[in-house]
Amino acid sequence: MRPEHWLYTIPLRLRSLFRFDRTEQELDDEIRFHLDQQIEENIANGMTPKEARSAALRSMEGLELHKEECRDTRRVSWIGDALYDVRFGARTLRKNPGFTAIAVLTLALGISASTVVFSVIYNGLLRPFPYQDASRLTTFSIQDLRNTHVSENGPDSRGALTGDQLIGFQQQSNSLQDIAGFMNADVFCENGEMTLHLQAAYVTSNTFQLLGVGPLLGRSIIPEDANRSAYPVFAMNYHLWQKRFNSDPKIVGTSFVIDGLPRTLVAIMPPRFQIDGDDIWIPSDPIPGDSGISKNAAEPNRVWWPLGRLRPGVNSRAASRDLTAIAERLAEISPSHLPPQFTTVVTRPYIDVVIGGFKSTLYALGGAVAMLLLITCTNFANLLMARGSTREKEIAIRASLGASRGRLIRQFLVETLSLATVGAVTGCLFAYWGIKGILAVIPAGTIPKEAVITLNPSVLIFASCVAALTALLCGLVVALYGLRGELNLRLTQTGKGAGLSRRGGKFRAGLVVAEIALATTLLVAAGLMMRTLLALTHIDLGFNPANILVTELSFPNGAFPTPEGKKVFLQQALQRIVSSPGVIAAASSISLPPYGGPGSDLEIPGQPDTRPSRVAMDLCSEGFFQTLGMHLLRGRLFAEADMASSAQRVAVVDEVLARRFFPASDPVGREIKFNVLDLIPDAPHGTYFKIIGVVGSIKNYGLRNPAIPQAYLPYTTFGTPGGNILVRSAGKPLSMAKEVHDSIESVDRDVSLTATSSLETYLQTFSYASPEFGFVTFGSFAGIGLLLVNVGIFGLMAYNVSAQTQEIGIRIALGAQQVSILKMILAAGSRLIAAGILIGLSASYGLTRFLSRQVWGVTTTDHGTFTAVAILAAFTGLAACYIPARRATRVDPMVALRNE
Amino acid sequence: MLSVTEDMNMSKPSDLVQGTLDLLLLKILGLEPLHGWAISKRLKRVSGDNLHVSDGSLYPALHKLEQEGWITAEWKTSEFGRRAKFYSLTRLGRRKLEKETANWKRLSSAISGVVRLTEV
Repeated sequence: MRPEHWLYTIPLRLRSLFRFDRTEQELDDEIRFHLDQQIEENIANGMTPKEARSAALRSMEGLELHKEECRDTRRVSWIGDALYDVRFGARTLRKNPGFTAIAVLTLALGISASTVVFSVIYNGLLRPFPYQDASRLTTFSIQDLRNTHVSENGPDSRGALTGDQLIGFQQQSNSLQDIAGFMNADVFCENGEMTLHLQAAYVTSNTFQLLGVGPLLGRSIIPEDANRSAYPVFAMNYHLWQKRFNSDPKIVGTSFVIDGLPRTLVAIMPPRFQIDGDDIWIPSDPIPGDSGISKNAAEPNRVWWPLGRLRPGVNSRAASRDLTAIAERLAEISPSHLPPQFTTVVTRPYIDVVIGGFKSTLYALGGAVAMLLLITCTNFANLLMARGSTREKEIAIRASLGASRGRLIRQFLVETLSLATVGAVTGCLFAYWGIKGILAVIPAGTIPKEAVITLNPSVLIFASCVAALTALLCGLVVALYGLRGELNLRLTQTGKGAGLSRRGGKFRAGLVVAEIALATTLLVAAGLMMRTLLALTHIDLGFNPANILVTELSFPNGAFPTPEGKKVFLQQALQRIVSSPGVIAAASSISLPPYGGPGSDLEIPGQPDTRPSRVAMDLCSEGFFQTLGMHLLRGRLFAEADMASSAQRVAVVDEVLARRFFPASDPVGREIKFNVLDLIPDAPHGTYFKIIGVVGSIKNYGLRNPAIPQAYLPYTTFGTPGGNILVRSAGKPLSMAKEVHDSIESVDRDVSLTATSSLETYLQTFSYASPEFGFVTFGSFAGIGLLLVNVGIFGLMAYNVSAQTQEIGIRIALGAQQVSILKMILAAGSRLIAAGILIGLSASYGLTRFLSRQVWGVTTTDHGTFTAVAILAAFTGLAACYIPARRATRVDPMVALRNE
Repeated sequence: MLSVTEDMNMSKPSDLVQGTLDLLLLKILGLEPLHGWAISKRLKRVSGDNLHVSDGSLYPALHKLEQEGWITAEWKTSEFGRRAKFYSLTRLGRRKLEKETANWKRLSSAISGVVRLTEV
């Protein structure tokens, strides 16, 4: 039956929709035909034309109503009505530009801020990788759980494996489907036209299969490519290809010389393939029996960083157990590579390793932005309610003129929905700009390189729907509220907001209190972030970071086969740098503050200490202490003679080490042994170092942690594959960059400099960027929140004042002072503000512990911050009340009373 | 089946059960295509003064039947020489008429049965 039904009805509906005028005309014609016939009949029955006409019309009593009923039968009239409502709504909104602008801005801010933040969370945290089943990618490390000294990087661990260990894990693991290994290397790559210094990774041949991503150009790298007998090949990062080779597809298949070995480029990987962040990937499997320890100082140790894929259904705890059992077997085979304290394998999802602590920042931000969205919706509701109550009379008039309930409700819904639509569209625009803004402030290295942060359509739709829902609810409440009870009663009342029951006012006051509470919570979070940033930037580093240039050296493979050769190079280079004008001191070291170099256990003759006694160990040149401006407390600093490898083994220690290991005696002249040196082939084994001096301690375990014991050894103690140069200058440090570069190039052309910056910038990038991000984002949300709340308070108070105009007029007429009127209004406002702040502070008290990972140097319930926020919120809130209160004092009693 | 829910928005003759007017109109149009005026005349003549169907409420009812697909309209020259909107029954309408007639017979016989019962 249905299809036949549609056969008749669909053309009719379409006709009434698109040929509306024609349909109307036909309706008129049909009725007129009837009337004319009736008139003719009446005349024929002996009436005068005039009588005939009025009798005919009488028989059609309620003609217009009947016509409307005819229209309603068409079932499409709602579309026309809706269009009319939209036009009417738009006209009303245009007539109140202030209200419209504030409502639209409120919504747009809420929608855009939440869309931007949730887009970052979605693209950066939940779906950052282009790899197949990325959630099952996992890394693992062998950890020393005995050492309870947990830093921000977790307990001491051996993340890197020797080739044999990697093979062992690959062959024996049941919990991981497959394990790939990455071996990082600085390489020089040339193709006859140019020589590039690149960050390469030797990757096991299964890497590309494990990640499940094919090349953009060329062919996939297959396991056979890693065979010793196969033709050597490699794959290139899209960004390198784009930047250095102008995206030239013809370079695929050409040959490059990489570290002295010709290799053919067979694949350009897609843009989002950024595993490990390398420039090129070279297939190479570990050789069984290779200890991984380099034979000389010029080559780095061959160690592999594992990346595995969990078997479906295996959780990371089961994988840890499985891998720990393998590690125990491997330790039995070669105990020298796995000291007994490294016993437990801990797995971590790959995303956690990449994003690290920034994850909790992002989640906290998600919470904050959800609050902001709540504030905006509340504020929007508040605005609509305020306007709705001034329109109660309009509703009453329309209802008594015959508008049906449904029709009135529909009109309000359409009006608020159009407002929400404009808000959502503006929100999209804001979000488009906002995402660019947030990308500019996200600290480098926190979001995976693979992630492409774009606006997430589903988030945008979600936020817009929340706004639309708020609009619908408010429209409905306003209309129903306006329609309740006896409408005629309201018509006889007067005044703008007359008829406002106390309940409506209370509901709006409740909304304002909720807004204040939410904004207070955001302010507390922002305040804690600000305190953290201040604390971090005002940390006493133990040295003065101003005017220091730092740069990282990269030595080509095989350039300095002995420590002596490198010493000669460094000595010459440092001499040239120091002799440049403007340079005060220069030195080399293997690590940069706030980190103090690799860790080692310490052994002291005659002090059989069984406690874990971990110290940080830096290798530096004699000028190190002068360059950083550290204080000598006892003994002497390094002299040039101490740097000779034939010299007596000496060490400088810091006061933390002195206090920990020599609490009662003078450390100068005592001997200490660094156990880790026994594991390094070209380091002096079983050797005791004589302490020659004690210096003040500097931050060496990250900015947020107290310094751990620190020892400094001459840089010639053993060979390292790279190092840093630190230069203290008289003027701006970056102005020295060219001279430092030239000095080094004049000594050896093959040594290259990377990551040249001032030490302050370096600290900024690695240590302050995250707290700064937290402060900027939370701060701006709290600022927007506070602004919206003030709009809300202002709106409510202004409305209350205008509703109370008559009362105020009477009071003034009876002799009330302006001050007492002012007090009366402010008191009403401050009650709301106080309630909101109190609720907000108690909520913050419970909620800020979720920020404990972002907050440092201040407790999450810091009284100072809470007090400051309370004062700020109270002050701005009262300021918002003040203008309406002033207006109240200027009420002219005569005008106020005559208005009634 | 006869619906007895009153739609507040429709001005229906109060003594006419909702749906009965539909049946009457379908029945009249089942005999021959007619325009509104003629339908009104015929309705008055057939039912005498027992059924008060105002001219005003006739048209919404006709339009409703048209929108339901039971009758269809066509502009034709009337017997008075003027163009008028003629309604005629569709196939769907004929089926509807049969169903409604059967329903009506069932209902009225049931009711008159009950009424007679109480008279005894």
